Amino acid sequence: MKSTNTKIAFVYLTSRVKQSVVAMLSVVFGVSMYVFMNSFMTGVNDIQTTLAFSTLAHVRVHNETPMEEVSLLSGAKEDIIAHVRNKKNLQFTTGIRHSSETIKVLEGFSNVEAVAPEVNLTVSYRSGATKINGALAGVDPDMEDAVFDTSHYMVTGRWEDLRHRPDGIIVGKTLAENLGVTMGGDVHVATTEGVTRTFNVVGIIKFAVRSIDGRKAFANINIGRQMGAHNADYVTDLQVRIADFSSAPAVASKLAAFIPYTVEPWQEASGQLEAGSQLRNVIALAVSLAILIVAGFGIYNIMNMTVSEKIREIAILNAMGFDSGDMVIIFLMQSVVIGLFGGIVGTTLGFIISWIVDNSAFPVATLETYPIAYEVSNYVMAFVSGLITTFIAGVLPARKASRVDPVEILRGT
Amino acid sequence: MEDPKIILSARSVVKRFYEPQEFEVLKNISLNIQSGEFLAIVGKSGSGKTTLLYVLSTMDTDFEGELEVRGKNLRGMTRKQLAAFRNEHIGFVFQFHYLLPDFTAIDNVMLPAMKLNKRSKEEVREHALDILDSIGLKNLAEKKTNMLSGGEQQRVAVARSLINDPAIVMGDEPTGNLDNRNTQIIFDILCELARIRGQTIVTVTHDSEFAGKCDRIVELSDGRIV
Repeated sequence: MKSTNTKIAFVYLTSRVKQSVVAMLSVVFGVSMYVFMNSFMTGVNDIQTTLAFSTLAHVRVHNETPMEEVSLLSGAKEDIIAHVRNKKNLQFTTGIRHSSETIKVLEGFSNVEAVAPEVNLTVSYRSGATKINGALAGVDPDMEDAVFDTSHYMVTGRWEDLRHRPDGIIVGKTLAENLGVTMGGDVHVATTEGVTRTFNVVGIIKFAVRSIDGRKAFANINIGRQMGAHNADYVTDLQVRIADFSSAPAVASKLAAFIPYTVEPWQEASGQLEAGSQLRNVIALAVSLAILIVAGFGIYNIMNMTVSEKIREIAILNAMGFDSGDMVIIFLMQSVVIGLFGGIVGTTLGFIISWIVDNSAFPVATLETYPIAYEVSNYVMAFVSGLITTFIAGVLPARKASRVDPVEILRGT
Repeated sequence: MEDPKIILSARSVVKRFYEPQEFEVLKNISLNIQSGEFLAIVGKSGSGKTTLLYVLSTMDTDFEGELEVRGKNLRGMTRKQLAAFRNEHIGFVFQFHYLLPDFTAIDNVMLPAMKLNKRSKEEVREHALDILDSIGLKNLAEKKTNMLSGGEQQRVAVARSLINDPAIVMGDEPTGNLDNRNTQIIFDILCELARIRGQTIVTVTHDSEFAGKCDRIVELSDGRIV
């Protein structure tokens, strides 16, 4: 009996090839767009994250100056005359004096993949008559590279040259252009404390982030310590790379228990990155669901027409003893088959579209082609959503078929 | 059932239409049909003969009164149960053949038996071929029904009504849409079924010549048997 219903459903499907194909195509279109939109958005988010993490660490450890300023007058009452004389502001220790201990603690955690010590200084760059304010990062080249993959962003020169060139500096591309220096040129650097030093440009770097390319340069960490007049174990920041960047807040709070400094996950430092990712996901989902819903209406329409067309056959089937349950099966099965085929072809087409876009040129910033992610979950979600849509779109016409009153139809001849 | 020969019994059947206004179509109709009887229901247009047939066939459940088929009271059965009952015990032939046009003749004949699911597909197929053979359509068994002529289609419909060896075959103007020659063929088939196989047949017709050849004629007028 089940197979009889199946047979009827298939004969109906195959006898109206054109309509079935049109219905299927609407699913194909919906599902493939779902796959493409979400693969594209995932790709954009991934590339955005990668770009952001080229300059932003997953977790940053630094010594934060206490915010609260104790007011000496806060304890005074209205009827008492307070007299403050010779008020002194104590200087808090900045930076992390003994970084090697902290690095050892950090590296003891299994989540931590790499740690990079940095001495960050506010400086002004000068070359000839041009003077530009910026930031100089004293870094350990190997450790920095392990955290940020910095060497990947070199335009000219070699990142490793910082290891053995105490006078070497790697300058952001925009900064170099504004200063008018090229490889091998000299740059004078002055700290806010008045310490000056001349560096030789050994490389140009480009992150495609204007605020960084226009004001940042890298030198060896020991030179940074010298210029800031700090001890040999001093750092201003420890940049930490962890296994799963999305778990940064959890890892940070775990680390904080063992480290007497501020441990800051990237979400705190750059909330808009997270917000951007989530908003893009919402947009992709909304657009693809809208397309699927339109496909659903198409199927609903076609199935409804089929039921109207076949209403006499439904009546006769009912007279012969097929009950309302059989009718639901016969007509719902057609929708489900359309959904299944549409889903299979749709995910395949979605993959092909994604692949074509993935290989289309998009030479902007550090990109070469459009970013596309290939994630199984996107395909599974597209397939399942397509099936659910066709199922829902098929239920109403199938119910209509099951409620046909055979007497009314057969008498009305 | 007192009389085992009585295969269908309707008692005090009253049927009303509510649209466009309340109207009693069938007024207290009682009718017994005996096994093997070839019965014609005749009457003028609007006399309620078709309505009566649909009540007797269990398809119309919206009436007052009692209905028993093969000793089984059918009042109070759900639509699903009635569908299963029709499948097994009642065969239909309509004015229009109502075959499924995208199926072959033999598939159409087999459908009710496949639904009943009491015999294997091979047995059903054999049985269907026998029936088609007996009405001279064996050579058209594998043809799609929309390729057949009107008379052939109606004969396939008769074959379909017989596949589950029903208690009663019900006809609603089975020859109403056919020319004289085909009317004669269908009529001969039905007669043969009744005489030789003892098949109970109830049919609505306005063809007095057709009705005249039946065992019994029930004439309806304004919802009453006269």
